[in-house]
Amino acid sequence: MTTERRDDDRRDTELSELMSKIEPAPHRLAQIEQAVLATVKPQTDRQSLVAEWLELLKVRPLFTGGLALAGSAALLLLNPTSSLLATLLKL
Amino acid sequence: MFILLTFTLDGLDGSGLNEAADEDEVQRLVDRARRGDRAAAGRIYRLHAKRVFRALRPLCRNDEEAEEVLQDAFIKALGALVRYRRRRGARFITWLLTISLNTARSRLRRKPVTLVPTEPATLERLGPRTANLDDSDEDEARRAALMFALSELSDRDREIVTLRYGSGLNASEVGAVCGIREANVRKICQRRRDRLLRRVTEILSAQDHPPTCRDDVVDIPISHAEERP
Repeated sequence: MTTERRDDDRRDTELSELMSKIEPAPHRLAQIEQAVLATVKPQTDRQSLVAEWLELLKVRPLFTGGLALAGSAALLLLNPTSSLLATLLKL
Repeated sequence: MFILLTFTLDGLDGSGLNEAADEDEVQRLVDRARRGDRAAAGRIYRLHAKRVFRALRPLCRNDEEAEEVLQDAFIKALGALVRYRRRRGARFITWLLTISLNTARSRLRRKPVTLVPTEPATLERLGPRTANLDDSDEDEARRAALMFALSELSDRDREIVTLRYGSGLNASEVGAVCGIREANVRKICQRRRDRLLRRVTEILSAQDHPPTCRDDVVDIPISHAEERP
């Protein structure tokens, strides 16, 4: 079993070494690098708001869930509370 | 104590730790390149260009075409870095190779090719191998033989083998790029690896003993041991 494994590893290495012969000429690599780098510029993330929230939910589910809950609660409670306060102030 | 020591040595010796550190470095470079840092983008290119080229070359007609695809792929990838999200167990090169292979595929759809590369011509030019071949000729002959052997594989197998052995992806990463199961990748790699090594030896030995009837062209024997795709 061990010999078989060793033989397998040897063949893997042999093919990897053979494959390493496939590479572009160094001067072409440098030319391509120049052409590629000429296109590099600062990027801005143009994600939609929904996509950003979904991303946040994936990364920090508890925090995002809590934030969404607090937001919903605020929306539900704020209106009646403000009307109550307005009524009390009028009195 | 012994267990702890063994565990520590395994951690230091295994490639996993170094790879993780390398991947952290790549991530930092990606963050800088997103902000328009050309030095970081250049480092990303130099770290990955050869491995991407090895995946692309067997899909293209010649080196020039593969170099054009390499350039297009890097322009696309570096322009889309903002969409790259690091995922557990998947290295940056996996994402880069997915973009590169898609670029090659869409280009080849526009310009369909017959996948017999130019390398047999190189074999012919080099002629029968002799003891005084220098290292670069020897390398060129081996490369040509490999390219010819690769051209005999089906598109899917060629892609899997080059991603595994040329670009250095592990079986799980190859599976993710090609959309097949890891176990199947392992099976295909093992079978095709043995076939490729055998064919390269056959092709090179055909150069050592050129046929007497056609002394201007090296005859490359076709193996019928396995079904042709």
